[in-house]
Amino acid sequence: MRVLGIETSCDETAAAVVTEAGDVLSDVVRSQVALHAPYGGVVPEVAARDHARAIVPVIEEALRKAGLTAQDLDGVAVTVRPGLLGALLVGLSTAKGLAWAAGKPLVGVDHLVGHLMAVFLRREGVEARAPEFPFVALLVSGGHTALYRVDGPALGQIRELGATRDDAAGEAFDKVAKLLGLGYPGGPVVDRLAALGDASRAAEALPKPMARRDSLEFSFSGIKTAVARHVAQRAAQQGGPLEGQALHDLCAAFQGAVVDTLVRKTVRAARQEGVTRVVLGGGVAANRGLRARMTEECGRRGIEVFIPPFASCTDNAAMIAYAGALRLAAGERDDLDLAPATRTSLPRVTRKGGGAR
Amino acid sequence: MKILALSTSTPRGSVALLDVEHSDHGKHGERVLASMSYDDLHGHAERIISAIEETLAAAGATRADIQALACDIGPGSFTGVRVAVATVKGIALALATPAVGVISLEAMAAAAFASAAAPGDLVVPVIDAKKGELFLAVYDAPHAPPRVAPRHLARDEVPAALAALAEGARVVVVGVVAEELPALRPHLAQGPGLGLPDASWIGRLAAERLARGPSSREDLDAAAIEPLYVRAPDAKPAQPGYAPPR
Repeated sequence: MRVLGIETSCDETAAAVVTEAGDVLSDVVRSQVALHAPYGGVVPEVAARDHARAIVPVIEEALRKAGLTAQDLDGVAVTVRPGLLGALLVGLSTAKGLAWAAGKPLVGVDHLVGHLMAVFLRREGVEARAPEFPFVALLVSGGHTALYRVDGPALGQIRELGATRDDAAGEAFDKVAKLLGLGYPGGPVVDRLAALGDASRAAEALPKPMARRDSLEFSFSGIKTAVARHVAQRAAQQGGPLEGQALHDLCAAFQGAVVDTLVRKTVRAARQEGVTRVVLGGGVAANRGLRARMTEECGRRGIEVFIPPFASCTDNAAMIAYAGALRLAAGERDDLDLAPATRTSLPRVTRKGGGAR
Repeated sequence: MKILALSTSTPRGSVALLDVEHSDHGKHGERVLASMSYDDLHGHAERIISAIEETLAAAGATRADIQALACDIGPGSFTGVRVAVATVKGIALALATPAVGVISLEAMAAAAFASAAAPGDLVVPVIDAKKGELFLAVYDAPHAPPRVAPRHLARDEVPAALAALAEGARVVVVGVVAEELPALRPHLAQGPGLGLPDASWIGRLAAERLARGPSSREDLDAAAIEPLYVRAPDAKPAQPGYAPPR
């Protein structure tokens, strides 16, 4: 079975052809990151306009690289949620037109389910280790931060264990980078500068985000505020922005605090669920500090860690095609009146906003 | 040749299937075989495919009969416009048919010249642009470039702008939103295809365009169809060191 996946939920226009076994026949991602950089974040209308411009060339490239035409496909999978409505609508409308005209079945895919299944993708020339079910997954990106117990690929087999109450971890990286004048996106540059710094020299300025031992929920807005306060204080004392070693130290302390929280809670979740496999997913899984700490802490406790290659962690359509192929293989398909939604279809346990930290 | 035409730029969604006959003398005649419409600005993505199926069924046609595609490219609702544009792009990917984008306001003007206006009249199609503005254009003849290309204008500036252009010509305003502007109401013409852009007029203009043939390699390629937004996205570049609330 060869399934075309289409992804336009945020700021990547992506298309891929994948089999139900997870073999990636093609995987095309066109990032809009440079387009949004001047705004310091994703502008929904700017994103939707670029998707409309890029969608056909991206799909054509994915089909060409897979050596297929639309008629050769066994189905079309498309991200329907969660995401920016205007952006989702471009991919969904194109997918519907294509599926209808080619007479192929259409399946909608929850973007988060796609991320959770990305670990099963098999890319040519890349050694792939796939976990058995069940596993605990940390999904961490610019839009999402949550822990799941995953017993299988279907919606009913995935349970949220805890999620962020406010900002996503990647969002915190972006906001802190903006505060420090480091540009957008913030993750890669903070990660790079953190490697040059000493966290202990700035750690006292920052709180441990949602450190309560028994909670699997996250909160990253407090640490961002603490960084802002620290930057303002330094500016008042020294009459200038944070630079050089002091900047590196603060990046190291910030990244260290975020990574520490993510790793501790993931380990706690695995223990609580009695699961010995942990999977990382989402764009922040590219963070070197997180990969290293997670591997080290899990290794000490006999927990196996599965970190997909970078191309499978960031937003892509291969994971959507694969999750869709699993649905199609199970005999499912959606009607052509399928509607997009801003929220995930996975049941959520974490309430956004208040409550005891 | 059968053309499938879509319009989703306003709360009115519409689909039409047209049959175009070309004669040897470069003339062509087109006939609307079937059309349907609905009113649901936020439901275009849900309804457009079933509207297409309904239209084809009414004409006794199937998707295999479609030889060309046409879509309304706006101006209008940004999100709405993209539904028809993306749907047409998807269909063209599968059928490898030529596709034509048609300006919403031009389709309304063409409908006006076919019924309520004569050459020499100033036809002014208007579409609600929200934020206290209208999308409008000015045409003084059918099959001719606009006197004023599609643009957005504050509602209270529209009457003076039109008065300055008229120079004694009869002004014919079309578009339901004009009912909300007392100064425009005396000029307002009503009739089929005049209140909001309609797929049958999108299809007729596409037929003219197709009859002329491609003018370049990219022309008539669905991938190259761009919505005509007229208004820029509502976003300001961030100032360094300042984090706006999200």
